[in-house]
Amino acid sequence: MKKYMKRSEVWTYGIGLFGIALLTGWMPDYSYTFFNDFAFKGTDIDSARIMNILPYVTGVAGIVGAACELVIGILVDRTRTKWGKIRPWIGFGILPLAVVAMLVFIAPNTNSYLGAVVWMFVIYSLYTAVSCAVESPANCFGACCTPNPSERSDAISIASIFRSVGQSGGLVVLPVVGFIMKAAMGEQQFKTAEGQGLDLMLSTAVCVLGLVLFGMIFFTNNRERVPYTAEKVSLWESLKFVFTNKNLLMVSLTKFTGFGRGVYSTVSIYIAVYMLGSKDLKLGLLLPMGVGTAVGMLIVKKLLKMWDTRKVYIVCCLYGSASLAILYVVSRVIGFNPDVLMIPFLIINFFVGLQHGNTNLTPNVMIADCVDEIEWKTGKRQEGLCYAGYGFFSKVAAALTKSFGPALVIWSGYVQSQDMNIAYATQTDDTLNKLLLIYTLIPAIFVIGQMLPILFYDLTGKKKEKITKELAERRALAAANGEEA
Amino acid sequence: MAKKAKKPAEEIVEKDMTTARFDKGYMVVAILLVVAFLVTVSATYFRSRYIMFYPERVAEQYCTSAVVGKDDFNSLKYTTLIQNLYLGNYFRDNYIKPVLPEGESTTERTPEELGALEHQMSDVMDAYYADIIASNTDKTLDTVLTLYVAKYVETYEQVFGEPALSAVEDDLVTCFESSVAVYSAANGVDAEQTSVEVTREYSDAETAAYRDALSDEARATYERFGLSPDAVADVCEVTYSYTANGEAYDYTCTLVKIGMQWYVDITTL
Repeated sequence: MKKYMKRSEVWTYGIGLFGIALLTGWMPDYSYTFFNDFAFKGTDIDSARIMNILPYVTGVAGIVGAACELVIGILVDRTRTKWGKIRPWIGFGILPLAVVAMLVFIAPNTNSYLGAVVWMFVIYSLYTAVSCAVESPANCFGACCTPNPSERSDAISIASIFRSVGQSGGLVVLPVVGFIMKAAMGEQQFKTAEGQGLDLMLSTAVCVLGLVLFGMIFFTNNRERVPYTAEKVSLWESLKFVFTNKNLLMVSLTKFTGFGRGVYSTVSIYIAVYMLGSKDLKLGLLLPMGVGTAVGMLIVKKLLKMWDTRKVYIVCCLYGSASLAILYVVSRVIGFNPDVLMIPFLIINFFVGLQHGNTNLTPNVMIADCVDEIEWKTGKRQEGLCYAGYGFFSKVAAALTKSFGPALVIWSGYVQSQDMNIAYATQTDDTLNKLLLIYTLIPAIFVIGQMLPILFYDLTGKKKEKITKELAERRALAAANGEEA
Repeated sequence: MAKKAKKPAEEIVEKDMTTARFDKGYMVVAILLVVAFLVTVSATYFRSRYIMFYPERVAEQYCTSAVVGKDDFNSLKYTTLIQNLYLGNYFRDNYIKPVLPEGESTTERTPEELGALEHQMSDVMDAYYADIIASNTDKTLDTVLTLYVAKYVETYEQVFGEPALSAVEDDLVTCFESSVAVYSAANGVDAEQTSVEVTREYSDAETAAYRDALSDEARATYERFGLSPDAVADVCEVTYSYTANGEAYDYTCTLVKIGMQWYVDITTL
């Protein structure tokens, strides 16, 4: 089948997603610590009251974000401009996103608790809404970058790898900014600046700059190549398309049925302390898993050329579940002795990370196929809302994971240290086993859970080929009619 | 009855999306605007928040720590000592590393056993730190740190039953910080109605005179901390006022400006 994209476009799509993920990956954790530890330091505001209000700030922002997913999706599908329907959201949305993201780290000089609370609610909710207006369209751009499903799958694969790397970019930006500040100011002076959160503010500026530079490269070089319908679709019709399309619903449901697979991150610090012998090894746990994710995406990209998306997803889930089970069994057989367990644990942990390549990539390809199916059935193309629906489910599932993780830690019987000289108290074998379960077998069960809806996904093989072929014919006919007219 | 065939929707094709020239111009303008915004906002916020740019804020932090909090060690973070040195490294490199031989303990201990032994260490060392401060009327940094490290090594051998080796360097620092914190908590003043004011700004001629008038001892101190008197670009005096137990107190410190940052001049303490 004919290829439509310039070679550079595949890469600049990835670069664009890298830039956006650089900022959106940075913001949640570091804005929380900025609000909590630095924004009102040295003022009359009670820091304990700020800490107590922060869950509500992030909670409200989460609701705003979930609602915005759907609203932006609908608006994207109604956008008709000479730049296309998705590109203007990214190209013109980047500027307000840059400004608002930066302002999150510019705390007002106030001694008023009420003023501080109002500012946090307003600025963080505003950031969530504006970031949604850029991130959500960027994620669905893959569905309209080319009408060729194979080429589209390649572009989405590469872009997803870039996005995955970008999400962790802040881990590099912060120490680099710190290094430069130390060199420029002196080490002790840097500590003073760090104590006021100024390194976070400057790191945010770097991430914002990355967003604009990389986002603009994408905006300038990439084009939408799937023609879109000019007629407007009502809100009710839009929602009906999305929530009654079986395949799209199944892909979105994977987020619900697999929501508990992310609980491992809640206990990763305890696994590092008790199984590996040092909390510093948390990075040793997460870094190989991150590398494993990137490698996994490359493997999944290859698999998608050999198998259909359904098979790839199911095989990868089975692999993921099995690797987690192996990690559990090996840890139990060796016993909770950090000196012996550390090396095999870290090695198997890397192989566990490979499964994340599938969950980061395959659903995006599936949704692009669902967009085609909806267009084939209805004559209307709904990239915005399809990806927004998936994003909505993702945000709700993420909220469930955030509650589930701490609940499991309570279930494990974990005992906090009451001794000022001991950071982590000794735990019973039963608790250690439960912590290991939270890191391995419980996520493994949810990995199987996320696979179940895909058993009912049928947009593969001849059906997919037929849709692709008929859509191409319709578009060719429409283009010929347009030229005649 | 056969379904009525759907009429293909009107479509917009790629050729109508040719905006390349505008896009490039927009990219340049957008990047320039954002860079200008980031530089302006970051520089303004940094300047307004970073305390070392303001002599009264540096003096306030110093006095809050040293005068009110009785924390002589951490107050050094606002003095000329740290212009070229990291306080923690200064302590480690000059007072700890020369004393502790290389190596680490091979004794296996549970966290609880380790915690109990560290408790014993803290009890002895906290009391000893208070003694040093009470008896060391000059409170010279050199004396305090030298005595403390020597006592730690001696006490470690008694409590742990083995010599203190280089692996306990971090524990020593933690113990020292704990002793400082305990002393500060016990002896700190409950200050109220605090205020801080620049009470004297030196003219260029007075600053030059200040540099020239530095004693040999002060010059030696400057040299020890990697400073040159010529680097002092400005001098001012800041008075920190507070009340404690109904009585009013004033504390005046001399600050020097090196580069763009202000420091309490350690030679005047």
